[in-house]
Amino acid sequence: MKRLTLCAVLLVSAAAASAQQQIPTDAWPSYNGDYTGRRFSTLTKITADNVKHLSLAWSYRLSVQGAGPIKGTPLMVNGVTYLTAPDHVWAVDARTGREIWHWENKSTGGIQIGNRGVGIKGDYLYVETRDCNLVSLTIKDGKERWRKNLCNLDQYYYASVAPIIVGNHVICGVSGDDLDVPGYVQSHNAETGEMEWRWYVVPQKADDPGIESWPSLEAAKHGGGMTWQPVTYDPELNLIYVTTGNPQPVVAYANRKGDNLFTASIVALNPDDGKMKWYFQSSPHDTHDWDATQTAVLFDGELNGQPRKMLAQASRNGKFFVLDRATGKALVSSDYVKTNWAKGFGANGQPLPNPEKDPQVAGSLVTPNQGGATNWPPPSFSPQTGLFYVSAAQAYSVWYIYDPGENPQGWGGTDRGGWSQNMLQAIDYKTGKVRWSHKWEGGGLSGLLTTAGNVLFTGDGSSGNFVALNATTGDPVWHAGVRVPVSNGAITYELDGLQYIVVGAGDTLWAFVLND
Amino acid sequence: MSRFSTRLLTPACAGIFVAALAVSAGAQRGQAPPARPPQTSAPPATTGTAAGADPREATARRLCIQCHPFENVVAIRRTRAQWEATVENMVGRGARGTPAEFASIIDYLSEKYGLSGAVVRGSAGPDDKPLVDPKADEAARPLWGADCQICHGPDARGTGRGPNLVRSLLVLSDRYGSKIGPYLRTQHPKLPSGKILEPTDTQVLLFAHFLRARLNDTLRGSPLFRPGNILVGDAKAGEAYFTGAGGCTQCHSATGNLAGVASRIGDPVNLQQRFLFPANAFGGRRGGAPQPAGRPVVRVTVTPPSGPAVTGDLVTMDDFYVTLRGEDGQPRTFRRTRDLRVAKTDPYAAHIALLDVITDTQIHDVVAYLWTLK
Repeated sequence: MKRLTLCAVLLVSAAAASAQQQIPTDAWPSYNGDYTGRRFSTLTKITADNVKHLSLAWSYRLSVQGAGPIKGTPLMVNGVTYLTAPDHVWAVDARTGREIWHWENKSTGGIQIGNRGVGIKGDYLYVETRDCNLVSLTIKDGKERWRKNLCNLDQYYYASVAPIIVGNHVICGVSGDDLDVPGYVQSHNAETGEMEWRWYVVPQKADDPGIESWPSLEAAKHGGGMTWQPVTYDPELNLIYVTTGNPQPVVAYANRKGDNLFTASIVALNPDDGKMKWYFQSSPHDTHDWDATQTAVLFDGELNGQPRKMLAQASRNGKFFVLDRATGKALVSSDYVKTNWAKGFGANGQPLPNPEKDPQVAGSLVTPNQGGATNWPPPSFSPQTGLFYVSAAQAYSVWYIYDPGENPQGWGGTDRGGWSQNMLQAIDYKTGKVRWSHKWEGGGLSGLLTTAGNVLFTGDGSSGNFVALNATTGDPVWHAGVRVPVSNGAITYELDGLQYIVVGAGDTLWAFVLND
Repeated sequence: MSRFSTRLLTPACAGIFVAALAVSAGAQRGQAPPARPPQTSAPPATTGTAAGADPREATARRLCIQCHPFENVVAIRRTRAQWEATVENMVGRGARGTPAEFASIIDYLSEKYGLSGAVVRGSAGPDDKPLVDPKADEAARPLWGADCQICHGPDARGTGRGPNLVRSLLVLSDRYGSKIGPYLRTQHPKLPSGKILEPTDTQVLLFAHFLRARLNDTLRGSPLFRPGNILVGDAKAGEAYFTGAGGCTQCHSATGNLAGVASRIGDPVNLQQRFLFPANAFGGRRGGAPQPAGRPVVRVTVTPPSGPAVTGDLVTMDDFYVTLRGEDGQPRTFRRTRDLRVAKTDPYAAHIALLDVITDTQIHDVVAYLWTLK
């Protein structure tokens, strides 16, 4: 038995090691499958030509009514799939969908909007609970090993992020933008659970970096910047890429004039000590709740004739960026949908906001809307096509200031109404231009997966279909009517020589397979 | 138990609270602090579906859980106007349902999840966060004005003389005076007047309610969360745009279908929203009046390769199927193939096209003009 356990550990470790560069073919061991955030699988059994023969293998409906929808990415290791909803983790057989165990957290509060999934290291799972805890479970039976506090419920924080394991560090983010509290990312020891370091997104002391971008220390200390999304990681540079949320107060901004660093930014940190190496602010002085927590996707390639180690983000504000991920220098800045809130890009590649499009008492018509040009559903990058894919929306709404005073708190305004056209955008990373766009009839955004079979999997929003498209042309080639919107991205793995595609929609996990 | 039981401070017992105030008016420092209300006095509102439940809840659940847990939707309590705006936002983002369904959802959410009531499980913050008794909040104001406002400001957001209490960790962790009381009695500095604070249990409780109310004022469901004056445009310029560059007179007339539109809609913000996003107009019905009949809908014409064109109201469409409702009222579904032609006619296409070109000044001018059509 001990030998078997050791073998299992070695297998998982091997999977984790290979996951640094690409997703293993027999597992999906972390939120994005690997550290890069590309969500690109090298599996080739399912292709754009044969995907029309994909058929249902099994489905698993959450055993707790009302716990869903599933908004996390399921993980699969050693033939078992692990999925979550707020305060719940399930283990199901990856071949049959049979439930193996279920764990529930008796929560004391926090928003029940969603949970993005678990992290796995060896024999243990790690999950955030909405009442501000990081909990470690034993992978074989779901028994709780330890729990550590992540945040303060009284300050209206909550926890929803899928932890990312880097070495022996469990990297955790925090959620919540109701009150004016600072965002941060922190690391816990994977064995003991003890906190190792915490990096605050906004300055907490008068001499902290970024303080010059705030009118006062009081404004900075309460300036928000939640870390809603799992980080990506470059093991060669030993840098994690944290994407940060909107500043606080969210919409009314009279008491936070300035760029509000390091909110709505991409930030490179050393995972061993949490020290910042560089930053790039995707939305300087964000006043539209856009944040910039979209995945920082890592890939290597050629740009302007030079080999580059790059990072790309399709940000919620409608802007697409390609950066040198060693330095943070912008290489490409563009619009991936039409926007009307910026005057262009500065020399540093960051957008130049137009103050006239900040929220106004009488209303200001802005695109994107609060939901954004994209949102949390993860994008995908295919090194095969060289295209960066993102679920997008051309969306308008009117932004109002409700608290016109000099010292607003919390939100102080919002947007209202709107019209939106949802679409899938395929962006050429070398130019930032949209190579092709596929419009959806329904609303809503879904996560993405691409494969070396030249297939792109996603959902068509409220039309309720799980769809496969030709990744090169954008033509839909297969669909399954799952009746509710696909939420997070699909995963893929090969077991017993069969390639599976697994995706969550509503309260059900669907597994499709290409039979021999 | 204290003479002044906080158990009486739930909104449902607000009337009793006023009577209790009179009883406790002589409460002095030194009495035991008010007990934290047992959780049973304000159980988190359950949101599960039960036998005999309001049928509108089933509709709301069915439409909302396409994208959110239902508990997340109702976690923020809102006024009717806020629920109308929220549902309109969701329609604008692609929520699918009939006008009647959206209207019933607005009614249901406004009734069941209005501003007052118990904490909803799944809402922001801890499940045991204090409830605010509006009468206690009101009763605290004279005390606040007399002793606190000079340093902490009328809204407790601080001044140069005293800190922001809405952001205070001590206030946020307080439960009906549990932290505020000991602090005021033992650590709070003297007032500028030299006075030493010696609050009674009742006064501590009132401060606790007042401060929690000021915190709630900053949240998304705040009763203060409403638009200001949006009538800032030039009505004459708006009329010129309406009859000229805007192209509005192709479909509308100030003396025809828009005669009295300002009176019908009754609110400048709703008027602005209808003008820009007419397809979302499920809210804003004065007094909950039903939707007007004959509301334009998207039409679709499907032409199969081997048959005549079929035209009807669009029911649903995606990349794979299109369903329409023809003259006979029956839905008919077509599989979309390369040789099946589908033409969609959106009655609001001109409004959608406007979004790309209209300026904020033109919007404000047009609203100012439409507001004259009473």
